[in-house]
Formats: sequence, C-alpha cells, structure tokens
Amino acid sequence: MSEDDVDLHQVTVHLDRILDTQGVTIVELARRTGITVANLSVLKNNRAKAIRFSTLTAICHALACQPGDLLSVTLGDG
Amino acid sequence: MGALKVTTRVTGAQDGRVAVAIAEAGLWVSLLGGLLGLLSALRTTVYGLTGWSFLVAPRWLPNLYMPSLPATIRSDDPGLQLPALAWKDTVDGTVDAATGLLPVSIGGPVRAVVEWPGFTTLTPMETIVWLSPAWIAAVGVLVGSWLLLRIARSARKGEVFTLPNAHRLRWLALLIAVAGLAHNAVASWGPIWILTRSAAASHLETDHWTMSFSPALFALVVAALAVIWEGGVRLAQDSDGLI
Repeated sequence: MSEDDVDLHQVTVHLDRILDTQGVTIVELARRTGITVANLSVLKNNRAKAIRFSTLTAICHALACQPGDLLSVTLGDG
Repeated sequence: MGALKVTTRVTGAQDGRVAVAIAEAGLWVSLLGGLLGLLSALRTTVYGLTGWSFLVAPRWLPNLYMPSLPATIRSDDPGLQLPALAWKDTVDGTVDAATGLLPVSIGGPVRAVVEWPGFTTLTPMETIVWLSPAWIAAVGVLVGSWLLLRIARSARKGEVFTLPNAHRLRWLALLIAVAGLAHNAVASWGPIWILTRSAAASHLETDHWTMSFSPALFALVVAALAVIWEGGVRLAQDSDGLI
C-alpha cells in the first residue's frame, strides 16, 4: 500500500446527519457529553484527524448510536 | 468534586501564564543588558582606536581612562621581596617571634595590577584583543536572549512544541558553544598576550594560560534539550486535530 493509497482511505464522520435526524443541536450535545462546542464542530465538519475512544463513547451514549452509525470509511478503488 | 477539579486546572493554567510572563520580562531585561553591553563595547572600541569618546567622558570611567589587567609576579623576580617572618622555639612550641602567635609564612604567587596610562596608548590590535571578550559577551547575550524571548512569546500563545522553537534551541546550543568557547579563549589568552608586549613583561608570569571548556558542556545540554523538543513537536503533531 503506497502513501497515496493511504490518503484515499478517509474516515467520514456523520455527526451532522445524526444530529439532524434526532433534532439535537451541537450545544445540547456538548452539554450531554462534556465535549466543547468547538471540538464537536471540528468533528462535525470532518476536520478532526483522530478521535479518542472516550469521546466516541460519550457521543454514542448521548445519541444512543453505535460507532458504525457515526463513522464510515471511504475505500479507494481496488 | 467536578468543580474542584475545574478550579485546580484553571489555577494551574494561570500559574503557567504567570511563569511565562515573568520569564518574558526577565528576557527583555537581559536583552536590554545585551544592548547596553554592546553600546559599552562600541564606545570603548571607538575611544581606544580614535581617542573620541561619546556619551560619557573618559575620566568618569576608570576602566577607559586608566585600563588595567591583573597579573602574577614571577616567583624568581629579583625585585620581589616577601616578608620573612621569624619564628622562635619556646617551651610551648614554635611561635612567631614578633607576636607570639602560631607561626605562619608568607609565600607566592603574588598578584599585581598592571596599569596603562590610557586606552589610546594601546596599539589597535591590542585594543581589539582587549575588547573582544566584551564584544563576544554582548553579542552572545543579545542573540541568546532574543532566541529565548521568541520561545517564551510562542509559549504565551500556547504554541510551545513547534519546529521553529526546536530550531531556535539548536541555534542557541551552537551560540553557547561558539561564543562561550571563543569568549573564554580570548579572555584567558588576550590579557597574557598584551602583558607580554608591555614594559612589565619580564617581571610577570606569562608562559602559561588556562581556559574553561564548560560552555561546550552547557551547549551539549541545550542540544539534548533541542532533540527532546523535536520529540515533543512530533507528539504535538500527532495529537493535532485529536478530539
């Protein structure tokens, strides 16, 4: 696997879709999880480079979802 | 308990900002000291080479008006006469003949001060050699303070482990090694060279000199810190964007 191939394997965060579906605002999610609005915004806009398991756990608990609902990986052409 | 933890974290952050602010203030003072040292070295050099003094008249500055160097009198100099204290034997043992106290003797090396009638009486080369340590020290303090100040200012902005800071530490290590060793070499050899060219040369110890290599050791410590800092930069880059 070359370095160029790694760049194609991107993780997409679907936080905005889940928030819209459940009618929850970022501010409310910040209140429920203890994560700052700024960090949640970074996550929502796909600008995060890594996520802690504790953060993932807090968001999944707050939104009653699974990591697979929140994250997906866009694979490159085989 | 949650409120207590938040308070402790806030206080810790404030303490860090206060420490950085104090360090920054100290570095500004050091920078000012370097500038004043540079100005002093410049004034002395101009006076020594041209006889013209600016800002302060030479008579108010003894080291300009009558420069001097410490020296050691040769132990075999025929003009050197050290007091010879006489002892005497008593029933209570040997005592000093004049005072009756415990016997002591006076020996060398004998330190002296060689004075010149003015900086302008030195040759240009002697003036440059004499003042080189002052120039090296002033420039070293100025540049070193500036490098550390840039690091402190970036720390105040919360950007501590950055590549520019790591590079500044490398430059600081190089500065300490080069300027420190050069200063020590010239400061220890220079006065002896000047004394050997003076009228008092035959009376003085001028055949050996020593210098300290501690700047090299200090530079190694700072260089090691720079390597550690680069590790911190990599860690910071790894956690950049980590939620």
